[in-house]
Amino acid sequence: MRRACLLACGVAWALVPRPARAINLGFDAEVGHQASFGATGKSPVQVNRPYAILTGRYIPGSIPQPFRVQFEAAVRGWYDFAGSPAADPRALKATLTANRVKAAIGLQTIAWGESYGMYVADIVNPRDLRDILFNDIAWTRIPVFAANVQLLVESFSLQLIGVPLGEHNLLPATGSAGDFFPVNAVHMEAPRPHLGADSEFGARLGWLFSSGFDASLLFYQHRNRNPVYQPVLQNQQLHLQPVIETVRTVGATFSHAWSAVALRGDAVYHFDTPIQDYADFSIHHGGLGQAVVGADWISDLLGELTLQAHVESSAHHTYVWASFRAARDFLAEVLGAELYVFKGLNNSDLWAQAQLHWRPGGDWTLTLRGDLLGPPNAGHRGMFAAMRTRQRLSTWVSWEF
Amino acid sequence: MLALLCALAAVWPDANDILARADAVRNPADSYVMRAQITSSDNPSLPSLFEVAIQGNEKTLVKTLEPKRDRGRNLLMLGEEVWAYLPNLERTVRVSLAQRLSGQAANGDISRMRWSGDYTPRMEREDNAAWTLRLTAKRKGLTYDRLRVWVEKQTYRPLKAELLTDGGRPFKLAIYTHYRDLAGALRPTEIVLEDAEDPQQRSSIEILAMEQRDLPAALFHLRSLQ
Repeated sequence: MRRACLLACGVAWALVPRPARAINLGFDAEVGHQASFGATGKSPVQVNRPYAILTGRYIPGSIPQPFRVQFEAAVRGWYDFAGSPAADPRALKATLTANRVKAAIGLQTIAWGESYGMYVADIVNPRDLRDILFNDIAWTRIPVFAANVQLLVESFSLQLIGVPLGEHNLLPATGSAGDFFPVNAVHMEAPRPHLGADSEFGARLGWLFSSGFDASLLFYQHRNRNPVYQPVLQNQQLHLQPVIETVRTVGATFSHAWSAVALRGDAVYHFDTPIQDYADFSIHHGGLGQAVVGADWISDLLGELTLQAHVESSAHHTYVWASFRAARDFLAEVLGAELYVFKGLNNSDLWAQAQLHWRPGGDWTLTLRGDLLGPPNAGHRGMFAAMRTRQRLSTWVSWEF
Repeated sequence: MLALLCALAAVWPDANDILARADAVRNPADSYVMRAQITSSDNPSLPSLFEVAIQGNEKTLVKTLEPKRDRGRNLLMLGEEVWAYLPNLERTVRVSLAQRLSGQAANGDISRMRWSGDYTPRMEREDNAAWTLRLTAKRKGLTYDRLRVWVEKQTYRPLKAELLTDGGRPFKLAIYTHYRDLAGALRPTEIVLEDAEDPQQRSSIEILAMEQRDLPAALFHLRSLQ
């Protein structure tokens, strides 16, 4: 009897969940300053803003194995001397991880896609398009309140996303640095989203093949991410009403690597989406396909080289572009240089962006960035034809601690 | 005759056995976590600190902890496939095992810590102190295609390794040193990597801590790298 009790106690002791590791609380912070200078015709461009980003993470120690919970909060604030102060939460979420399941609930950003520069598959979060040339996606992706559940089993992954209240893109003010409409007009507010009617949801199914080929299929129902304006005459003044509609998107992403070369691509098709023609700004409805296919090559001598082909096609237009990116560090990563060129092959788009990074020591980084848009051709207008800002010099200083 | 052969086999370990035992000196268990610091000669004042979770020979997650500007640039290795998470893009990109991690250290130098399974060993020579094994990669895509490894007799400790070009010429040298108690055994806590043609170009991988730990499968999935 005594032995039986001891055995039972031993089994019970083995089955009691052990508390996880001690409480883990951590903070990251980044402070910095962004400035932007340029002039084009009647629209002087200036951004002058110090900013701060604070991120906190908390892992409670009382959660039994195999579960792990992490709480994360992040907020970004800045004071724009050319505008006004602003603050926005970047994250407020709880993430639960069990053996093969990861679920994150709360305010968050979710990245889809394999391409660089033009993120056609990155459709879960809306974008801050107030400064379109500022393509740092970590800054321009707008967090949404979402339930993001992933089932991760060996080579297979299934991700389910639900966003009760879809948000829309932030669009530039009329005449501002990022304004891409050719005439000055009053930009009207987009209609506020409604719970249910404007909910967004979707899924992504992924598979990593034994050959190393990684592919995924995606579906997402969302408010259209491409900016579309409807001109409206009110009180004898031209207004621009953002066109926000529910769109269904299907797509695929892939990547495969051989030694120093990686091939990757994104393709999406938006069903019955509003489309604004780059040439005459007329609005159509129909299917819109977008694809980016690229290859990266990494070498110690040349750094990172990337070549991409971009296509956008609807019943009314087909645009083709090519892009090239080169990045290399020097002097033990104290200096870094990047060049990105985006060129239309059947349109007049040309965007060249050069960056120099200086990391003098510790966690300081100073970036000098220049953007140049080529002149539009009236006969072959591309997506950048109406951009007000065509040359710009920017600086960005940051300190992380 | 058979008994003699068996006795000889027991005294004379074969190359595969030596390699497996050398791996056991470097790795405590099938599943463990270690903290590694890499210091390079070209920037000695800015070491990089990584937390590495390893499961078997096919799954490794490397988290960058320092410097702060690189925090979040994590690596996931699944077999010979490697992905890096770039925080500024908030996305994952494919990289190679041979790509430079920091200084002379490649991604594979801290993410792939076992030779047996990846390499076919051949006994090249031996002396009173050590065996010299010539290792040839079993498949493409590994960090290095050819190595020459010195393993100390009696203890099976790896002493040094020459990383070889296609022609068999050393281009990098790895020295395993500072053996001390880690995770229940004496293990090398410093790996010095030197450019064979310019020994001034060197990086030191210092293993600060090592702990056996059961790791969840979701930790090593591509989709959870963010």
